[in-house]
Amino acid sequence: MTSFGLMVAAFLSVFVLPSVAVMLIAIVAGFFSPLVPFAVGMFSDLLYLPPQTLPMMTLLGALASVVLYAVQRFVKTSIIDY
Amino acid sequence: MKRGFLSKRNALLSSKGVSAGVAAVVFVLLVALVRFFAPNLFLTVFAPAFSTGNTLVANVHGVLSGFEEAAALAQENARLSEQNTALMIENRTLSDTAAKCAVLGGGDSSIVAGVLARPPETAYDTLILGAGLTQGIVLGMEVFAEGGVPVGVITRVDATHALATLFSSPGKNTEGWVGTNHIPLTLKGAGGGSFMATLPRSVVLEPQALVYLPGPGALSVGTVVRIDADPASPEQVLRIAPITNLFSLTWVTVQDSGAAFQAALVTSTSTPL
Repeated sequence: MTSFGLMVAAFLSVFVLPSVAVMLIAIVAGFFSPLVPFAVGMFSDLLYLPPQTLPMMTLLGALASVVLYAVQRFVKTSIIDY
Repeated sequence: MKRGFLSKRNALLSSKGVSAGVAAVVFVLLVALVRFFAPNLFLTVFAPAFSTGNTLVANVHGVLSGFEEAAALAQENARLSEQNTALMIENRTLSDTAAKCAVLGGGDSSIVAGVLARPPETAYDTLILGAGLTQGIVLGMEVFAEGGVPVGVITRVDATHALATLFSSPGKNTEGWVGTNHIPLTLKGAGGGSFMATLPRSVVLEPQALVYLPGPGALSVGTVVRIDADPASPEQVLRIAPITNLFSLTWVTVQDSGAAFQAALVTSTSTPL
């Protein structure tokens, strides 16, 4: 439920909050679902990216997703949780 | 009794979490399909979300400003009333002059457009406008804020909406002038409405020098607020603040600024794809 709520908040924040705040919310949501920062970055670029410009939000989202996935793999192999 | 091991290895990485992420990516890909195959429908669908966001921000600002001291508000109200009266008189005079100019020049061709989204919500310093091809907006038209301050250029347009890239967009370069001597310089967008530019150290500028862009005449876009000069460098870096507050734009005018403006755009560049 928390994961879904954070994901929805990340998508809605694209319309209301500055891009730095959007990135922060997406990264927090990414701790539960690593693909969310990538998805939010793409969504932001679909709305705001002008032509002939590097899609920085998508690239940053992809980078965050890769890092968060690596963190999760590390946590997975480090925690024994019955 | 045999007990199952590792039923839940990690509280963070669950199948639910993975599926939510995949669902998010699938959702965005569907949105991308709509964006590419039906661009008009795309912004029409998301326009209510922008409006809701604007209303929410305005309401939050209203609530927060309500906590300010009543005395200060009353004082500001009196000052604004006086200013309003003066502006009304000035506006009447200007309207008369504009009407006379319109008769002589064949009418005003500018298009008024509402702003659906603006910085800082929009990344890349762009504006989403609630007017498009239907209202007469075409690619390359110049966008002006209140008072005739040039702020950007139309870079994407569909039937009912348009996207304007601001001159302050990071990586965007625009030719302009600075100071009373009209010294030519290249304005580099620095994001958040601000610019940077470099000039030789031998150039001396007056304090708060105005920066101009081409258009219907020389139009001021900002003021030089700081000059960084490294003794080891032959150049000085100008930090330029915008003359208008881009974060509170609610409407803009769009018009074709003619050959001078197009010539300045030819030398302008953006971050390559």
